[in-house]
Amino acid sequence: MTRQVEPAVESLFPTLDSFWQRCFGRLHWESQVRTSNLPAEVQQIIASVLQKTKLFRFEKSEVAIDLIAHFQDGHLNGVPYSDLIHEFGNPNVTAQLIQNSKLRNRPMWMKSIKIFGMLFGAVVACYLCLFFYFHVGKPNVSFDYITELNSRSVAFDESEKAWPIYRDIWAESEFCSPKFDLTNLFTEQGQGRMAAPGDECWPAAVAVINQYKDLLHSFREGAKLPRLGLELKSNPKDYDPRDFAALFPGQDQADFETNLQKAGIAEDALFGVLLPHVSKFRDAARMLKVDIRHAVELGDTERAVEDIETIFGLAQQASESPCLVCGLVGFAVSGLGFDSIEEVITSDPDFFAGSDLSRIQATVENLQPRDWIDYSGEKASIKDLIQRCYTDNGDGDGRLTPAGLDLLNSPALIGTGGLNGDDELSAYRQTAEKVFGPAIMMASASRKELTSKADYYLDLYNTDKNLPFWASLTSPSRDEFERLEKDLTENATYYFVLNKMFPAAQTIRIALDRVVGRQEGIVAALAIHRFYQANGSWPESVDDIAPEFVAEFPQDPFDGSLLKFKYDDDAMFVYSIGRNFEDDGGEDHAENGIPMPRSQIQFGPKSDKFTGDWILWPQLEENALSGRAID
Amino acid sequence: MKLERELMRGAGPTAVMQLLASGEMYGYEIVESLSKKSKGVFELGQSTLYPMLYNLEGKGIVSSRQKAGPNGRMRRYYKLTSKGKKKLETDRAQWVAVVKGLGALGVTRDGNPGLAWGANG
Repeated sequence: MTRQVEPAVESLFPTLDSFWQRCFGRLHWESQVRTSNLPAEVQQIIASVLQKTKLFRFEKSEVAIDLIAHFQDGHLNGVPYSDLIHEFGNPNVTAQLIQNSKLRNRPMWMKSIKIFGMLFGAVVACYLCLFFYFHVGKPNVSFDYITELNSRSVAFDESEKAWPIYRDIWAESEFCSPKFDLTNLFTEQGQGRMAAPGDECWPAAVAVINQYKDLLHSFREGAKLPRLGLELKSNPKDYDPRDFAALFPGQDQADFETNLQKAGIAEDALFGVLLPHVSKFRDAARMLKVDIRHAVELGDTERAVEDIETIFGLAQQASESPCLVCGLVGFAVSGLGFDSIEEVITSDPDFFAGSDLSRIQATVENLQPRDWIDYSGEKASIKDLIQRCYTDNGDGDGRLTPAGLDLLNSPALIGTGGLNGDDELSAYRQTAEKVFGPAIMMASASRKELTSKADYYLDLYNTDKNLPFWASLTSPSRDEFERLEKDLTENATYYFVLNKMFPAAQTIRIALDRVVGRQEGIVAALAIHRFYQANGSWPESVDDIAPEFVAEFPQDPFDGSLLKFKYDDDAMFVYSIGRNFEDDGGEDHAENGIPMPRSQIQFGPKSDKFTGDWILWPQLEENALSGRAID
Repeated sequence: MKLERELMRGAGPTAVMQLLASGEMYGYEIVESLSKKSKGVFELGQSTLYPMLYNLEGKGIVSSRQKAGPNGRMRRYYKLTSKGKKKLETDRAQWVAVVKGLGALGVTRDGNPGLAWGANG
C-alpha cells in the first residue's frame, strides 16, 4: 500500500525547521519529494519506490535526488510526464533492483553495522526469554533444617539437660539482657583486665559475685549435666514463655520481631535463628573466673575446683548447637578455664592438694574440643539458604530466583547489613538486580553445583578437624582445601553464594589446634606438678610421670612426638617444638625475628620465618615475669 | 531494437562507461546520450539505469557528486574513475574480440546477418 506523501504545511517553528533542514534535511526524503514541484502522480511513484526499498534513510535520500532530477530533467527537455512515467518501469521491480544494487555495494562497515544490529537483536531476544525464565522462578522451601539443628539438643532425657536449671534464674536476673552489667568485674571502668585481689575495684567485683550468687550456683549445678538441651526457634514467638523470658528478658513476646521478620523475608530460616544465650556463657565464665580468684583469696579450694569444672562444663554446653560460632565460644570459655588453672598454680603452687589437681586434670583430659567444631550446622545453613534462593526441579537442581537475589542482598540478613555489607538496598540496586538478574543467574553456579560443593568440602572439613595437626599436614585433604580456596577465588562470581557463606575453615582449624595444644600443655603441667607435690622434686623424664600421673604423656601437636618440659629457676615450662619443627630448648617463638605472644602461635607447614618453641605452660604472659596473670 | 535482458546486462555497463569516458554526466543526460549515440540500441529506463550506476559506483568504477543544476535543483553527476578507465579498456578489448569472433562465424557481416549462412562459402 502506497503511503501518502503529506502535503506541505506551513511551519509553526520556521527557525527550528530551518536548523533541522540544514542539519538533517538530506535525510528527509519525503520532504525532498514533496518540494520537488513534480506532479502528484510522479511524486507518488517516486515515494512508492523509495518506501519499498529497505534502505537506510540517507540512501533513500540519495536515490530520491536521482529520481526527482531525472523527471525534472526529462520534463525540461520537453518530454511529457506521462512518457516519463511510462519509461520509468514497474515501481516494484525498480525498487527491488535499486535495493539490490545498493545493498550489494554497501561498504563493509555498513554491512557490519547491519550484522551487528541483527546479532544485537538476537541477543536482546534471547535475553528477554531469559528474563522471563528468570522472573517466573520461585524457590521451594521443602526441608526443615531447624529441626536438624535441634536434634542434638532434644535427643536426651530431661534429666540430662541443664536448660531447665538455667531458665528461671536467667529470666529472674535478666542474664541475657544487654543491661546485665559486669563492668565491675573489670578494672578501668570495664576497659581493662579482669579484677583481682589487690585491685582498687576488687571489692566492687566481689560485690557483683555476691549479688549473683544464685546465678553462679545455677551454673555450678547445670554445668554438671552433659547437655544444655535448649530447643531453638526461628520465630521467638514460638518459644515457651519461660524460655522467651530467659532469652529475651524485658521484651514483649507478642510484639518481638527478628530483623528477618521485620524485613518480611525468610522468617523460618535457619540463619534467622537467634542465639542470645551463647555469648552469655562467656560472661558466666568471667564471673566464675573472678569467683575463683575470690575462692583462692578465701582459701576455699573446693569452691575453686568446682568453679573450674563448671567453666569447662559451660564450654561443652555452649558448643552444643552445631554452629561454628558456638564452638568458638566454647573455645573462649575453655580458655578462661585454662587461664584460671595456670593462674592459681603458678601464683600459689600449693593451693590445690594432689586430689584437687587430679580432679582438675581429669576434667581437662576429658574435654573434647574437636567435637565442639561441627560443620554440619554450616552445611545446613548453606543448604537452607540455597533452598530459599533457588528453584527445585525435583532432582536436586535449580536456578537462582529473583527472591533469592533479594534475600542475598537484604540488609536484614545476618543483621549486619546483608551479605554485601551495604547499609540498605538502594532503588538503583533493586532495579539493576531485576534487569541483570538473568545474567547473574547464568553467570552463577546452579543449585546442584553449590550443594554438592558444600557437601563435599564441609564433610571433608568435618573429617579433617578430627586429625591432630601433625597428621593433617600430610593428609590428602590439604591439597583439596587448597584446590577449593583457589576455585572459590578464581571463580568468585560463579560461586558468589558459597563465597558469602563458606566458613573460614583454616582460621577455625588454627583456633582448634591452639585449644588442643593448650589443653595438652595443661594436662602435662598438671601431671608434672602432681609429681612435684608427691616427690618434692621435678621429674627427670616422661617415664617418671607416665603412667602414674598421666596415662599417656601428651603429644606435641606439631610432630606427634611428646611435649617437652624444662625447669628454670624453679619454674616449670612445658613447650612444643613450634612452627620451625625444631627443639630450641624452650625459647619463646618469634616471627621474622619479632617475638610473638604465646597464645598467637601460627599453625602450618615448616617455615624458616618462625623461630623458637611454643610455650604451652605458662602461657599467660605476665606469669613468665611476675606470676600474675593477665586477661 | 530492444536488446534482450542478458545482452543489456553484459553490454549496458560498458556502454555507460564509454559514455562517461568523455566527461561527467547526470542521469537523464546519460539516458539521452546513450540512446542517441547508440542509434536507439541502448534504450535505458530509470529502473535499469540507476541500479546499473549504483552497481558501478559500488565497485569503484564510477564516482558521483551532488551539484545544483541550472534550475537550482540538486542533481547527481557521475564520472569514470581511473579504475573505471582501466575496466573500460579491458571491456573494450573483450568486445572487439567478441565482435571479431562473431564476425568470423558469420554472425555479423556488413550489417546483414541473414547472408552469413553459406554466403561466403
